[in-house]
Amino acid sequence: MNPALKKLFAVEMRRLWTIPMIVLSIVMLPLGLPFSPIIATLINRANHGAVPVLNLSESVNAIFGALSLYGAMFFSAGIVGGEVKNGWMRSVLSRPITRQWFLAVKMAAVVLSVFCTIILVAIILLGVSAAMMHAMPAVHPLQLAQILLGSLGQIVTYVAIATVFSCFFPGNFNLIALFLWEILGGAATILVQKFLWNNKWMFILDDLLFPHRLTGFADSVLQNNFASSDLLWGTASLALFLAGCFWFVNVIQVDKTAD
Amino acid sequence: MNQRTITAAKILAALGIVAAVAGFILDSGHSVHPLSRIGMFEARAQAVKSAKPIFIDVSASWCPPCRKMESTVFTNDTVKNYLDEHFIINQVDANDQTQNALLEDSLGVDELPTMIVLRPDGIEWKRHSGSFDAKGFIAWMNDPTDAFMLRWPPANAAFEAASQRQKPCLILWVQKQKDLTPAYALFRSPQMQALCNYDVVPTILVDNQQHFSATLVQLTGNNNAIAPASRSIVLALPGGKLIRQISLDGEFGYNPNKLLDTLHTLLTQKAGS
Repeated sequence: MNPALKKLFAVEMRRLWTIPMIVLSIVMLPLGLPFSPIIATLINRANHGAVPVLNLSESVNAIFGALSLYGAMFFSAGIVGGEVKNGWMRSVLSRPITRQWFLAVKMAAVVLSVFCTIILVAIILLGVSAAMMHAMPAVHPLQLAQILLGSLGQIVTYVAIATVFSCFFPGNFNLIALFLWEILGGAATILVQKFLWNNKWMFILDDLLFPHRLTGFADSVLQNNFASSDLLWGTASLALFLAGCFWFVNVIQVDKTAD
Repeated sequence: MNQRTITAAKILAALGIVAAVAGFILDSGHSVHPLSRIGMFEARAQAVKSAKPIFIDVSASWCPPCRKMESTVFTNDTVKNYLDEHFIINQVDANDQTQNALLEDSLGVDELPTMIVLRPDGIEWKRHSGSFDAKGFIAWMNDPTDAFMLRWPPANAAFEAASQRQKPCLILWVQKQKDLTPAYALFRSPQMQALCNYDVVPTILVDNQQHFSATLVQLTGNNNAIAPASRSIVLALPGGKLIRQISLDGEFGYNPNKLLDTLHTLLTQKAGS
């Protein structure tokens, strides 16, 4: 790897992990609590009086499902628009680094940060659960790896959508745009299912614009299935949004600084 | 414009299109569904023969919630075993153009996925539109009142049984399908279920008044007029000796206790006479 890119990656990680971000990551912990095995088991016990079971794959899938969007939203806030505004992008591009590598490194740093934060949250919650329940989690490495792959893909998709928005919205407004996009996606899905249920092209469009198929893939892995259709549609959407990132980052005006 | 960035965008777009086309081909060629596709005619025939209710899943390969149900619910062993044991299963593919009339007219489907449970005599029992997870699906399917009422025989079989056992036949009669669901609440209490199990032979009829009257005359030989009502409980003794109609439209509403008291009184009177 190019030493300049390595250095840029290290700098980007340092810039991402500011005090507010660390605080935010700690705040994410209680957000994951309802999905931790402690709560799930207590609820399960209360409902059925069943013996507690610590299902690692299920818990990890639930924690990623709950936190991926929020993690991607906060870490990718102003990923491009913010850097244009504060002049950082112009400063980096004045060095021998192209826009594509700048974007790739920034996205890699964001994705890694989101992924590691959620993994950390999952480890803490599962560790506490295992200690409280006096139970060792049942580990299925292949299943867990597939769930992590699907979840990672979904995080990259969210970051890519946030990046596309960041090419159009100044500062951190892409955070709000991504949140609204998700709400719009939920409404569109209900609309398609209720009123356009026999139109397969609307389903496909809905799937590509508001992608959740990689989460669906992870869910299917939990049932010992390999939903290749989910994986393909999820990948298609991810690749198209990534293409959008690289296209739009190329056409924005880098000199449009705040001052 | 940076040519390399443009190239990267083009390569990613091409990859996305290839993945989408592959996904589309995979979905279009998708014909293996975990649930059996036996057709409505065959399903009804099997249901009558085995006295099992019919479970219909209406879905399409290009509908993501349907695919999610397929890969996470219908492949779940608990769900599979439960359905196999208790139901005649028929999956209807909304992608199949020949099924359109069935979907829109006969089954009245207007959303995907839709799951419908029919009684063995073809009366729609309940339906759900939208997806479930495995636990939610089992909870929806495994309603204790359902398990009790789905066993009720069709009208003609009920009259035969009533005749053999010399017991009155309790007919839950509604003119419209939608009136059935609120009437189920009347049969949730253990006392009402005990009454239905031991004192009467229960059945359900969904029919308009004219047809229902004709059916009743044909089955009981009694030509007592049936009062206009959108939903009623009719107590009929084979041979036409007794027909009492309890309208659920008026004072009874859907009050289970009041209905139970009335039925007990009627049955005591009948036993006394």
